[in-house]
Amino acid sequence: MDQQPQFSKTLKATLPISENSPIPPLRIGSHTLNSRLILGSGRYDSFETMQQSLTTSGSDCVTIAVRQEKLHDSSGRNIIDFIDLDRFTLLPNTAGCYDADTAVRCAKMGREILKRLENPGANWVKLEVLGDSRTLLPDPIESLKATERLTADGFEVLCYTSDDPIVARRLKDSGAAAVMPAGSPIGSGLGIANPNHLAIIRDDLKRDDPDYPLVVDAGVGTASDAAIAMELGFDAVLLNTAVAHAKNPILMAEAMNLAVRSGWLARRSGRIGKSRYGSASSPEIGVISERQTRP
Amino acid sequence: MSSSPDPSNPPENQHQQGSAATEAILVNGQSMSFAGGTVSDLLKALSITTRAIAVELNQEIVPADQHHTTKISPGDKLEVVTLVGGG
Repeated sequence: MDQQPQFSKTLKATLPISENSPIPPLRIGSHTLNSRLILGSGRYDSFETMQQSLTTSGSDCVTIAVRQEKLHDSSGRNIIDFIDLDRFTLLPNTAGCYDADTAVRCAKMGREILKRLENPGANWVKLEVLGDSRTLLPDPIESLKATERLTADGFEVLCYTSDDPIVARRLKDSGAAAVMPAGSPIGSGLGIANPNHLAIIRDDLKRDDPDYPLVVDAGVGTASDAAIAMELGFDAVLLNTAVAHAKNPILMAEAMNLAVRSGWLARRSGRIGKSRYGSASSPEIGVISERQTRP
Repeated sequence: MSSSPDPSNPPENQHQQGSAATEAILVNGQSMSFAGGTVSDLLKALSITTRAIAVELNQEIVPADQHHTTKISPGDKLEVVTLVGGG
């Protein structure tokens, strides 16, 4: 049986950190996010669970998809009614598109809907152009074409990509407002499969441009994956399934909230080096023992 | 409004051809008959009332403020989309 999120009460006592947080807001294009966690709105077992998960996540940006309206038997419930639009900026995606033409159309539809809702998310898009339905890995050529066209059309493009450093650079050069490499395939829960490539992308895209936003998008399975992404020097983490399909999504959303903050703080703290051998924390002199340490 | 959808003939999966009173159009990939009129008329006929939609006519967005004036012609292809959960 699922546990109720009993931890929340305890954690709230320690959470005022957020009010005096040393973690600065993140700027992506014209948008400012106070949380480094961007949460997806798909795959929850109910709108209510999604709503509560959004609350405990601490996030202020949520992704949404554009799909054909049901022409018959529409339930009458729209996801928008379960998202606090005063708190959340909507980030429409082009999920499920396999070529640049379709992705551009999808982005424009998302923009049109958000304009009608007078939502500030109308001018940006999470661009996702897939190349393979089994791995859900992106098509780099089509992603690049779509980035160029959407940027020319005035969009701020946050582009989902693989962890290929060269493609990441090409996307930045083509005008992407943020580059968002996958940690591992969408929904896989494999975490950060190639931290070395992510570190190369970070070094390359932030060289001479330290504020250029980089987001790990996809693959996160649990809180430590999100923390590792942040410790690698990424600016934010975008995830969906890790929360929505957790046994208790509301608790996992809170775990992710803490993880991205922990990871950000750890990165800025400057971690210790790694050593093959031990290094005592307590003084080695004055120990009440005659035993000699090894020379 | 010059013409409005015929309430006795709501758009369904009807593959009507050559009917004088209706025109065949494609909405979200479904063929349906439509009594003729504007995008607004079609949305009304489909009982779509939410503002959280966008309409594409032959692959071009029809801005909301043009729904009332944009006429639908026989053979037109429309997409009516909304927001759903996604990552």
